Amino acid sequence: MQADNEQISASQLTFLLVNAITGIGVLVIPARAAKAAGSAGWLAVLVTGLICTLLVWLIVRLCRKYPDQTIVEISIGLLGKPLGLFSVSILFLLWLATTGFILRTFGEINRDFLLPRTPIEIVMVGTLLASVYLARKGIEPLARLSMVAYPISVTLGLGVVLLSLIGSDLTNLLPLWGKGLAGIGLGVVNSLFAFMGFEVLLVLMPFLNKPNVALRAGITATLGITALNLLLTVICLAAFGAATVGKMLWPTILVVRNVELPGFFLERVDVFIFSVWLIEIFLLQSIMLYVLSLTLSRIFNVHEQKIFVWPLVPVIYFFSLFPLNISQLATFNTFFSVALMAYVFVQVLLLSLLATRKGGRAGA
Amino acid sequence: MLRWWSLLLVPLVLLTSGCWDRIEVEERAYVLGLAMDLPENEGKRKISIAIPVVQESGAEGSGNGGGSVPLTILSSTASTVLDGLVPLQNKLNKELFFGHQKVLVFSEACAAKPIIPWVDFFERVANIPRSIMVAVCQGEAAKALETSLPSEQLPPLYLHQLLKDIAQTGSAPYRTFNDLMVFAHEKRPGFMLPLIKVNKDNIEVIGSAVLKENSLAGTLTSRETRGALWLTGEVQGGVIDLPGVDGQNRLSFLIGDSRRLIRPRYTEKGITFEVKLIVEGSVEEYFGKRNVINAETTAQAEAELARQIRKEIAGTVAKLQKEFGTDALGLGEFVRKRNPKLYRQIGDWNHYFANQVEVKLTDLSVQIRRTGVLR
Repeated sequence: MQADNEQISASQLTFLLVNAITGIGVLVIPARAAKAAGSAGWLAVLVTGLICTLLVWLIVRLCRKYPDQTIVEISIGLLGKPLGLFSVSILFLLWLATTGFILRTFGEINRDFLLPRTPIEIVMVGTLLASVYLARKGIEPLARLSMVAYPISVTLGLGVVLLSLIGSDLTNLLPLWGKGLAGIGLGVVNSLFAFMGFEVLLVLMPFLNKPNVALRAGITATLGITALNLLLTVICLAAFGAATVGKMLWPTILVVRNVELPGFFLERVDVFIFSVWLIEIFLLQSIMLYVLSLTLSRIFNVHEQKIFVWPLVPVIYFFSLFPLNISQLATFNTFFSVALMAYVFVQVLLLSLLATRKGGRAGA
Repeated sequence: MLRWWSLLLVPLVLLTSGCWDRIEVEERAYVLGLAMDLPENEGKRKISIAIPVVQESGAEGSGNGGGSVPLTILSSTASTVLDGLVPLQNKLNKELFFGHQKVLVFSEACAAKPIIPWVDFFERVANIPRSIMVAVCQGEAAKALETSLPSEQLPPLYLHQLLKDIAQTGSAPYRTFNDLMVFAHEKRPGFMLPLIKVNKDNIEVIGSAVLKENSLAGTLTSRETRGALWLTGEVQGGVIDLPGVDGQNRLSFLIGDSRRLIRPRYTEKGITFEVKLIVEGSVEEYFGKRNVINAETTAQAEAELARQIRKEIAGTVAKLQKEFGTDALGLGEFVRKRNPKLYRQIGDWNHYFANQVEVKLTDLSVQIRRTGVLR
């Protein structure tokens, strides 16, 4: 049974990755990109997607050298125990913080659109507890659920969003360069938030039953997410224009609000978005809980990952309640996503360099 | 596998069930329409909302007997929309809910002041749909919420449908709340909203109100509005009447569809917008003795129609340039999107539009495709 729960196929890994990336990001990406880059927001999203694909390639390249090790063992092996543990701890803390903030953002959106009177804490704790259950089951059930839920979610969600293309104006994507190159650069930084998540590959690679397909899985996932985010950005830009999208907090939901189907009672099709999105957030939280507990278990060199899930709950909850208001939350989201990406980039690059040197020496 | 202590979890069912956001339909007051008037108090607005009487609208013998409308209209005067809703909520035993709002009406006087700050509420509150139809009303806007045809039950729904359908006759533009907000956020130079007039027992769409930046610059009649809509590519219906020679061959052309292609030409003097317009439709009424189906009549009629359309467009463009000094045609958008540098250089587009822009109909083709079921 144990062995069953610790093996995933390439397609399962792909779905795990896209699920880890798809969260709040899909709801905010058009606004984050358009606010900085103007009508060239879609260009910023595309660039960010390509950057992330490059990062995935770097990660896979590093991890493939150590097929049965996670980032924890790789770091310790290459940097020595104290420095390795320190570097992984920072990664762990960044993950922990972002998981908390994502939970909070989820609560805020939920409060705005679905359950205005339900205390946000109840919603967050409820989701977290459900995720604990799944995260304790191991990676294989997680992957299986991702594989079932994701295609349904994307089909339903995108179907509704695509409806809003009716009556929108594609010339809103002009001028091509938007607010100029500096704007696009800032847009890339802002868009990183919607792409964060693929770096869980750092700890999930050893569970792959065929390690040599990891690159394909990773790149499929990032390119898929890039396509999704790109599509959402284009649709929102076409429907609203850059200035309006830039003003919105959750443009993907609002663009669906524009859709009007005939008939008095079927006028609010955004419920479809919410129902699938709730599942996505639940899965995202479960994946992050799993990743965090796994990292912890490797740091402490304990075989069992399960036992680290419960202790994480209060910490994540603390992080989620840390921002005082929505503007702090947005700042934290941007800051931590950029910090996480930058950190992963630096760490992976550094480790890769060390690995080549050591590898070379071992070969000689 | 079931452990005995798991039975202890059963009482949890009692504690964890329940719902904070339980919603009973009877406990909500569905705002179908909101109207904004200008009271005498400077800086304030009179806000009127229309709420249907839910229980009675289906029941027989509702209200105060025959002819009465199952609708409540409440008004208050305040400095913000939300503040104005408080006294209204204080009169209601139900919670105000805007999720099914259908129309937003401004009085002409109200639109003459900047309206953009006053619409923020409708965009900011999460559950208000962006598909609300927006209109400007001659006289008191609150009246537009309670007036409808005797055959219609709920005036705001009547007005909503009216505003949606009117675009089909080319007399007024189809404008949703989303369009208004896009205009506002992008700081577009001009905008058209449908203009309505409240009669004794109906509402009439009489043309359009032209907004310059964010307040009323003037109004266009329905014919003048069509002149503008040709250029925005929004004419999908309507009738053009040709008197013919001595009123003998009077002919009515029903517009089926129109397509327009605009290309800006940058010259030394300014910008010339070259417009290519294709109009299709059918003859649905003819007073003459000859058959409409013959090459000569058709060609004559088509040429005459083209002349009429040219006249319409030229008249409206002249009015917008000389009288209002407002680009309500979206021509500035062409420049902003395709030549952003120049657009920034120009700065005040409305001023530029009034003085240095020429609209030239380079190509106008009218096609009479059908003649009804007669020759």
